[in-house]
Amino acid sequence: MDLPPGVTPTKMLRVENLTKVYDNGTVALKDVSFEVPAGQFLAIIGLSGSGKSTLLRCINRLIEPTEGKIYWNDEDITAAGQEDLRRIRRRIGMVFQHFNLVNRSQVITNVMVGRLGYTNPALAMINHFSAEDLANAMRSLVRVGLDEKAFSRADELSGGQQQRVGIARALMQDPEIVLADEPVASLDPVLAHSIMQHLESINKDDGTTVLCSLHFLDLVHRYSDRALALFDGELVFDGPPSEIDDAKFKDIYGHEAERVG
Amino acid sequence: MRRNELADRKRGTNKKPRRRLSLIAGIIGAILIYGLAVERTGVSLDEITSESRQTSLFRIIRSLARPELVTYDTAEVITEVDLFIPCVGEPAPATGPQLEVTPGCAEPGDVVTVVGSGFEPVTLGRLQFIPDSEFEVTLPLTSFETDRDGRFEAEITLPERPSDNPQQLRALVSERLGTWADREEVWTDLNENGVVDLGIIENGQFTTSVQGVSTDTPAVALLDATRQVTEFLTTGEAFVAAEGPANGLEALPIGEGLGDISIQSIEPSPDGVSVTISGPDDTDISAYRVAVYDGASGEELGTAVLGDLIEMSPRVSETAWLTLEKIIDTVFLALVATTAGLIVALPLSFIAARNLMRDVSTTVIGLGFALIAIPVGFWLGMQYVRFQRSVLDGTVDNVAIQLALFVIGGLAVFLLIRQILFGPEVVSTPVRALRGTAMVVAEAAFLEGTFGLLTAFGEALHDPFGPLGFVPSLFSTLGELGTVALPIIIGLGAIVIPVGLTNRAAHWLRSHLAEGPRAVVQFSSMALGGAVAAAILGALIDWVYQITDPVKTLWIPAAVGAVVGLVLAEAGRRSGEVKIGLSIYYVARTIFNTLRSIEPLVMVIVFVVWVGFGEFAGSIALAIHTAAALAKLYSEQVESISSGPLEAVRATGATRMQQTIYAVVPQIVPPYIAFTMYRWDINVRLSTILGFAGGGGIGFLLQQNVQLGLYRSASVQMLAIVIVVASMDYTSSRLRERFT
Repeated sequence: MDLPPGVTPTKMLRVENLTKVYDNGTVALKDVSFEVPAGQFLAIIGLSGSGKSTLLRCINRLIEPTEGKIYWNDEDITAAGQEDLRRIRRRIGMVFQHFNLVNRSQVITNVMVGRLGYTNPALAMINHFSAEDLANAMRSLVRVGLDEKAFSRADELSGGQQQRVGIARALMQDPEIVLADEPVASLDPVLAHSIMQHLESINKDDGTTVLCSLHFLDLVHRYSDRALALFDGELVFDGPPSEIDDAKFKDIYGHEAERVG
Repeated sequence: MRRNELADRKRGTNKKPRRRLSLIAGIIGAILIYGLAVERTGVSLDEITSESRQTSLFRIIRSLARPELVTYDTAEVITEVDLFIPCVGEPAPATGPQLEVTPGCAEPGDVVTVVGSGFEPVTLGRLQFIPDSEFEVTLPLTSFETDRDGRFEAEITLPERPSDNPQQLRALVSERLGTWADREEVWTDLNENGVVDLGIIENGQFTTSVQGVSTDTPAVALLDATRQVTEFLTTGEAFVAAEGPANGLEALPIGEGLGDISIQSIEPSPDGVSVTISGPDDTDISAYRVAVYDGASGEELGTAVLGDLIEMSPRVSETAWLTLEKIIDTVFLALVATTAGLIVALPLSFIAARNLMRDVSTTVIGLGFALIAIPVGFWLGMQYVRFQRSVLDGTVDNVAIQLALFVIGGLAVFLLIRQILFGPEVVSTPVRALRGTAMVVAEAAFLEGTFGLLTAFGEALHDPFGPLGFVPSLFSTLGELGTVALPIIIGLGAIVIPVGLTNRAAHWLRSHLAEGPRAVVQFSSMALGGAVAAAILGALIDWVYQITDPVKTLWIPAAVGAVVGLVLAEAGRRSGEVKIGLSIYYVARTIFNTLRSIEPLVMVIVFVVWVGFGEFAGSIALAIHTAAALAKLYSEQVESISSGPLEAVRATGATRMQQTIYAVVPQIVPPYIAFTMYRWDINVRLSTILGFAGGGGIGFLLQQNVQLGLYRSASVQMLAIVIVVASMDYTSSRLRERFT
């Protein structure tokens, strides 16, 4: 990259010509390319089935891309072997629509899971974590306001609380990127802001890059620096959220859609 | 639109008769099938209603309804009645057991009806005819069973009468002795000398007399309850017995007694030999025996039991005790089988789960290398154990050597584990390989010592532990098992080293080679790997079928394997990866399904040949079936876990093992416990019939009694099975509730 003199190379996520075709022939992503500078809050919008989840999961290779490359700080994620992938994944936190907590485990155990990528695999077998990790886990829980629930079973918590545990788990990874896949879609709308504010704090206070897929445009306007829109697997919009006018809206959500928020 | 509707209607009208026809054809087909089925299964109303079948059925049902839990001794009550002939005009006596014959006047050969009344209710008895004769002659007539009022009715054919004197009919019924409230002592005169020998030492001694033996220099062997000779003393010269219970033992001149219970004196008496035994007061020696020898000729003259058999009636039957013992064996059999099956099934269930194995893949080169590296590693590991044993050469059984191996090997293993767990991460391939080798060497020494010590201590502690000797026995058994399995354990452990090395090499080759040379390496490594794997398979087939033709067992399989390897390499050429996970999944599933489809009752036949009759054979058969069944049930549970948590844990960079422990295991704990309990429940039920095929447990008793027609005894075993199965069912359902 050509950088002006005196400027250090910025950390950056670069997606090049990403295509994903599922085994059943569904084309989920078509030749998607974009760059995300470190520290950005990027919203990804689009209809259900437009490829938002696939895009996020290709970045940490929970889904193997069919074609295209993804670089993080110039390291090719798509070419990484098993051990390199483990090293890459542990710096990418992920927050899920359905929280994906292990219901029968304690909240603290669910948070500690975020540390597995750094733990000696043999040690984790006997459920052993260092005292430092435990203290970190408690700090993460304090940050999301759930330290009192540390020893409750995860399924005893409400949806909003479970999502905050999910965020604490991502925090444990000491992430450079957080991928949030519809983090508020299965929550009461009134809880959405509390979750979004935690993500905002991770982005603004820690300088972590956040890629967040969202349904509600007002959340996009309120929290994101930039928005990407996918329609049928294709990138149809890339720019600041303020630029999404009515015409663009129809492009993104189809002509039968109407604005609600 | 209209045309479509019309067409639809038309099709509809065509459809109706066709549907009706197929319905009629279906009904006719069903009648044919069921007709054939009834014919083939021999369903027959004649058999059900035939009187002889019903009689035997009722007999069995009645016997089964009265399990022989309690034994009553019986005494025969004899009712002798003058053949009462009403036509003479005498009235029948009013009370007590009596027999009445109608018609009153009959000729020999006529059939008359005998009605008995006033007998013991619900009792079996016999009718006898006693002709007038100088001798005691009885002619058996028939047997009967009294009803609840003590009445019975029987038809008899009058036998020839030798004279016109009164003839007699005799009814014999057995009367139970004692009741539970008031038990009665029953004495069996074992020596048949008409004397009550209590067999209990009083005032320090007990004297018995062996009747009907005569010798001037008697010698006596004292046998304890287990028929072991405890003492062999003679009043004459010392001699060695050549027969009888003391065969091969030397009789010593009588002197001071040795043990607690010993022979005090031996005296010839006019009608036999009198033996006095000394011992502590109130010791019951009724099960002891004395064998009398002629001290001059060494001939065995006779044996006598010291006491008579004095038992209480009623008492818990022998069958009940035996059943209790066997049902406990049965439950333990099921426990051992379930535990062993569980241990095997637990790890296997993860590799038989589609959702975990679906995306397990390896590089083509890595797979080819691994196929070669796995047998090489295994062989090297086994060779190393052999080498270690040849170095120790005979001193393996030495406890000091074992202790040294245990301490030094254990320390090395401990240090290495600590290094691996807490030390800095090692990336260098040679260092990793060296560390792995050191680990295998340390493990081999440590385990050799551990198993040896387990065996030695288990054996040494067996006797001091007395009745708890089975605890050390368990350890010595485990130690012996470990010693036998050590080459395999180390072989499996040693696989890791060459596989790790080749994996690294494969990864390096894959990312550093140009496409052309890479394809060459891919194809050649897969061809070679396939050939090696197939050749090993061929060797196994050779071992089973004894073909001993290297063309058939080595070269052809190797060629086929190489071709399969090439095909696989071609399939994975573009991506450079092979989905090895699904292949493992299918192989594991096929093995489980095969093993599961063979009933343990059939498997036990094989193991009876291998390890002999008994619970051991039964538990091996049951364990194998359990492992296969549980692995399948477990893996289906793994497949049905929610994938969200697994995805989340994978996203954190967790290894496959970590993913399993943190995302899979918590989700499967309740169903695993439920299925294990359920399986134990099934195993208890299965183990009750394994005895039918020689697999030990209560089924053996049950089968024996059914075949001997002892339905009342069989009923005890059935009752025990019902109680155990019902309580297992109850316990397992309660436990399952608890763990969900």
